Parts: sequence; structure tokens; C-alpha cells
Amino acid sequence: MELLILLALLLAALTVLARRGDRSLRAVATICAALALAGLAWWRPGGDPVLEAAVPAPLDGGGFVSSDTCRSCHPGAYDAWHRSYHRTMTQRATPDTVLASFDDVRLESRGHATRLARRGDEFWADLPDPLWFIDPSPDKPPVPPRIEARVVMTTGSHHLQNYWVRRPKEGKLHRNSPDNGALVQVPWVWLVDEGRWVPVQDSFLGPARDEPNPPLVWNTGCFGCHSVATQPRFDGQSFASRSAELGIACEACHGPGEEHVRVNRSPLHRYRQHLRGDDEGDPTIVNPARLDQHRSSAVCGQCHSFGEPPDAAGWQQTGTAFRAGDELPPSRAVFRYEDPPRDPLLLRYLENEPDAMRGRFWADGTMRVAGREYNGMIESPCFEQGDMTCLSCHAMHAYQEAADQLAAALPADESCLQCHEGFRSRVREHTHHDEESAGSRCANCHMPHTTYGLFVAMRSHRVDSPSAAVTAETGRPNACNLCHLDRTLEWTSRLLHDWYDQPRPKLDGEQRTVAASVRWALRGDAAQRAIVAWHMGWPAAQQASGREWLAPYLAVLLADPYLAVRRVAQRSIETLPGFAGFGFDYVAPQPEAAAKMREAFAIWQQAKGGAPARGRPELLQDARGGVDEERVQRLLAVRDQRPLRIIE
Amino acid sequence: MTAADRADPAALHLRVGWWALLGFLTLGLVLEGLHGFKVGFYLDVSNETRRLLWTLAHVHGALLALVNVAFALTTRALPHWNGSRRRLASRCLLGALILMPAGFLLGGIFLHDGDPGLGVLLVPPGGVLLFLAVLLTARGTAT
Repeated sequence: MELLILLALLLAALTVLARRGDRSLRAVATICAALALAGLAWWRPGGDPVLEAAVPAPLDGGGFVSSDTCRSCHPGAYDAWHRSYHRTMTQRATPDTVLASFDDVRLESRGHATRLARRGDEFWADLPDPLWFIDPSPDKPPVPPRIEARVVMTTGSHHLQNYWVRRPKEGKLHRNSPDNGALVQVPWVWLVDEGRWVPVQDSFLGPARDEPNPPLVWNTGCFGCHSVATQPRFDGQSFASRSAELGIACEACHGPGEEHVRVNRSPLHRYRQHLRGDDEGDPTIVNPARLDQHRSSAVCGQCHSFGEPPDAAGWQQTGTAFRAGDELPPSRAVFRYEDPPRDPLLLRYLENEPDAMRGRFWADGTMRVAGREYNGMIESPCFEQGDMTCLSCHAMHAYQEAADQLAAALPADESCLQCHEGFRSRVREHTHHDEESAGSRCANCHMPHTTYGLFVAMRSHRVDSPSAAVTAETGRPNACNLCHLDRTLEWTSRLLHDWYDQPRPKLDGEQRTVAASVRWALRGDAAQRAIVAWHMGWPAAQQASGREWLAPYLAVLLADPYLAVRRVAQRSIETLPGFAGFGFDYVAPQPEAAAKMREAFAIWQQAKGGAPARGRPELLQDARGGVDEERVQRLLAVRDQRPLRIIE
Repeated sequence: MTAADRADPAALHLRVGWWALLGFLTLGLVLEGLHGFKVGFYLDVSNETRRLLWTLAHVHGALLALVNVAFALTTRALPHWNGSRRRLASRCLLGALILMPAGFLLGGIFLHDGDPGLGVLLVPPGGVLLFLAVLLTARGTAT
């Protein structure tokens, strides 16, 4: 438009100048022509055409209108969404969206260097050709060629941010294979709260690996949940991806809005809706709050679940067929815990990822990886026997804060009390804890933090009651011992029996005599260790269990073979007295970690100093309050060393 | 409207115009205060329709107040323009002064998402009255 105006002005001025006439008019025309020429010299096309060409093109058809259209009529809803992390899940890489430092950064991991730089408003990566890592062929060259690629897209903005490039179209490339439309992940991820880069493969809980993992390709997987109605359009060779909108926007939850917009252009129609009240809703758009329980939950479950599209080939072409308001199963098969697995689709999935079940579920069938809350919810009595949906606790617009998007109208225990009103007047009688204490918060007992993701423990969304039997049989930590870290499973078993008449499971000697948290920290699998390390820094648990004995166990976890466990332990140990700014680099090689572990022991012993000895055998303390190293070593020797990967 | 007002509409419009100007300038101060204290009821993105409507109420009210003053001066300048059309123009102008700002103000109190409340229905008739008043006055100046 600007260009047209400038050209029209120039043309008009030249027309006037071409005629003989009034001198003053010709003077004005000369000035106009000069201004138009100056404008044309300065004019630059708007936007960033390179960036726009690199990210998926707008979807043609499908009835999507994008969030920009929704804004004019729903400014409040738009604003709430705009402040959410859903919006910023996928963004074009611009100075406004990139959170990481790109100031001539040089990174090296597993023998491969990556250099990152900012050039004006553009972000660039100089890295080994990602295609080399994806190529499984044994005869590939020993060293990958280096490429230089512009960072065009980002994923995430809350805890961490990933970056995506398009490979060059020409130059020295692996197998001379140019860009095929794939958006390929930069192998380093930015941790937002720490402000540091770590290798992408180290940002997941998994066994240490010397070899670099192949990079992810956005158009083959991530698009399904990190954008609206993206179609990969993969023809076997290249991608011609299209997307309704990057990020998780209005139409991911409300369905395509074109018909809604068309109908509501009429003010008469709109005011008829307003005056009729909210009882009937608008049939031209999906409101998840009006859907039945299964369809409403499916809106969130389309992403927050562990599952696969039944039609994998179609998915590579046209993406998910799910639209808000649909039932989930036709477009996404949600996997439930099976031992042994029988679901053919699950069996096919396990061919590619054999340890997926152990990495996703506790042995009692409860989900243990974050971001798959739907799986937990559908196993809950509140869902199976009640009317619970995601919106029973969460609100995507009227939320308390953007991190959890819990409903502002349902503070504290109100979500649960909607149905369990009877407990309101007898909290203490039910919980056996002070009414104001953490032990009387519904979620702390019925939704304990037994899910892991993004370096933290998160609440399980399988709403159930603490059970010593489940812990004894499956290893899933129970709420009682995750708060009362200094107590044994025997203690929990006895109280659950006395208070709630639960049957007492048969426990072995160690379960009766060693604090459950200590057992998880020393001999548990990597998920148990990460989860207990997080709880050792949880204020509620520290208040219930005391802090003075925690450091030795967190010190052990500082030298854990799993980087994720080390990071969680570092965060927790820094909450203890004497450890502020402990300065542990969890990415450092194992010998350095072992040295820091010893340093942490020394700090603890110094802090303990002349405090009166009060040895507690269940905490593996000797009579003088020191650590009983022999018993510690005995537990470490039987640690669950089976490799575990938790991929959120 | 008193008998004196009927006899001298200029005095009426001067009085109404200046008092209305005072009122709507006061409204402007109130709106500035809402900005100053960052009152969410007025400034939150979800209330942007309210902010627009109340700003329109302030602007239309103040401008219409000045138009009333201008109308008074016009009738004084055109003593020969007398009769039913001038009376009609006068009433239309007074009606517009009430209906347009009131419509914007009321429409901004209760919102339906991005749509104003029903009070905004006062605005179109107010606009028609203003149009008539201006048309009649313009024609009156030609007499």
C-alpha cells in the first residue's frame, strides 16, 4: 500500500510538471516529486519474507481464521490467551521472541561444536549438518560438514526454549542433500530460569550417552501439539507444510472459526445471543465448557496424552484430524498401561521405543511423565464415576496464573469441594492434619508430585488416595512419604490403616526400618531419585520432615549418573542452610560432580557442628547423628540401574 | 425550557453549552484519573471496548457542548433566522447533546465481550438529531 501511494504521488507530480502552468503549482509538484522519490529510495518491504518463507505457510481451507480475527470481538479472552504459555509455544524467531543469548556463543558437546550469533534482527547457527546425525548409514563420512543456517522458529518460553533452522539450499551439505522443507532442531536448548544453554538431549531425564542424539524434525512430530491444524504434507522426500497458526491458539480449543465469524458479522445476531443469555451458547463455535465430559476433556487430551494417531500415513500428510468438539479415539489412540502390552498400535509404537512403557508409567499404571495429564485423569474415579473434566480445576481464560492456569474461581481446595462438599466442615477429621497445613490441601494427598518433567516433579493427574500397598508393590511414591520424608513406609502403612482402615501390606525389613525417601534416593530408579530430590527442596516437605538431615542424600544425588537428577538435587540443596549459591555445575563431568558431593558433605558436617547428636536409624544415621556409610553403601549397591528415559 | 428560553434560545444554548462543556471536561479528568491509577475496570485489555466508548462519550460530549455554544452565537448573528426550523434545530441539538454521550457512556458500562451494552442504541438517534440540527442550521445561514 505504501508503495502504491508513493508511486501515485510521483505520477501525479510528474503529470503536473509535464504541463505548462502556474509556477507555484509546479513548485509544489516538484516538492511532491522529490518527496516521493525519497520515499521510494527508503522504502523496504514490510515483514521478513525470508522468515515467512521458512516457517509453515498459512493453511488453505479448513475454515480457520486465526486469533487475530478473534481479538476484535473477544478482547478479554484474547488477552488471557495472549498472556499464556500456550500462545508462545511456537513462534517465529525474532528479537521479541528469542529469549536466549546469541551473542557470539560457542558451545561444544560430544565432540561437536555449535556457534550461535546475532546479526541485526536475525539469529544464526553454525553447526554440523543435522542430516549427518539423522543418517543411519554406516558408510557416511566420519565427520559432518558444517552448515550455517538462520534460526527461524522457537518452541517454548516458560521453562526452556528450543530453536529450529532450515538447512541451506546449496553449499557443502551432507550427501549433497539440500533443504527439503524440514525444520530441524538446533542441538542446544536455552534454560530460561537459569539463563544457560544445555544440550537438548541432556534436558530430558535419560542415561548419560557419549553419542549425540539425532536432532528432531518439527514437521514430523512436534507440529501436532505445538501449532494449530498443521499439515506436514510430506511426500516421502520433502515437506510443504502448512499451518493454521503457530502456537496453541484459539482454534485449537474452539475449532475453526470461519462460520462463527460469518454468522456473527450481523449485530442483530450478536445482540440476540447476548440478550438470550448464555444458556444455549453459540452453535457456530465450540465451547469446551459446554461439551460433554468426554468431548470436553478430549480438547486438552488431543495433546496432553500419551498416544498415537491411528492413521500414521495420513498424519504425515494432513496432520491430526481432531477438531475441538470431536471424540478423541478416531484421531488419537490414547495408550493405557498394559503389562504385557496387547494393543496393536501400542505394540507398533514399542517397536521404535521399546522402553516407552517404563519411561511413561509407574508399574501401577499411573503416568509418570509430565504433559500427559489426560492419561492420569481418565484413570481417576472422579472421571470414571464422576463428571470431572480438565475444566473442573483449570481455566484457559480466567486463570490464577499462567504457569498452571488453575481457575481463578476455584482457589485452594475449591475444585475438589465442588463435588466433595461434605469434607468442607470436617477437614481435620478427614486429613488428621491442621486445617491450614499443607497436609490438609486436597491435592497434596490425592494428586502428589509423582510426575517428572522439565527438571521438576509435577502433580499426578490420576486423582487417588495414598497407598502404602501401591508403593510397596510398584515403587510409585505415596503422598505421605513425599512430605514426611523422614518416615518409613511402615509408618505410612500403620497410619493409613489406623485412619482410613486400609489393609496393611506385607513390608520387607528395609521398608519397615529405612525412611522411604532415603530408599528412593539411594536405591530407586532415576525417576524416583529425581522426584525425591525435588521433594527434598519442597518447602512443605522440609517443614514436615526437618531440613538438617537432607544434605547428605542430596549430596549423593549431586553425583548421580543422570544429569537431570543432578540438576534437581542442585536446586534442592541450595535451599538448605549453608548451601545458598553452592555453585554446582550439573553439566560438569562425573569427577567434578563427585568432588562437589564431598564438598557438600563437608558443608553439612560443618553446619551440623556442635549440634547435639540425635541419631535416627531410619535416616541411616549413626548414634551421633552422622551418616552410617556402610548402610548407605549397601543401599547404593542395589540401586535400580536399569536405563530409564522420560521423554516429555 | 422556560418562557425566557423560548424567547431567547441563544441564552439557553450558551448556558447548556458551557455547563455541558464543564461536565464533559470533568469526565475527561475522571478518565485521566482512571489512567493515572491504572484502574483495570477501564484499562484492562478485556475492557478496551469500555475505554473506547467512554472516550467517545467524553469527546462527543465536549464537542457537542462547543457546537451548542456555536449555535447560540449563530442565532445571535442571524437574528432574521427565526421560526419553526430554528426551534427544531435547537431541539435536535439539545437532543443530540443528551443522546450521543449518554449512549456511549451507558454502552460502556455493561459489555458483551467486544460489543457495547444496549445503551449504545441511544447513539444512532442522537446522530440523526445532530445531522438534522446541522443541516437546518446550515440552511438557516443561507436565509
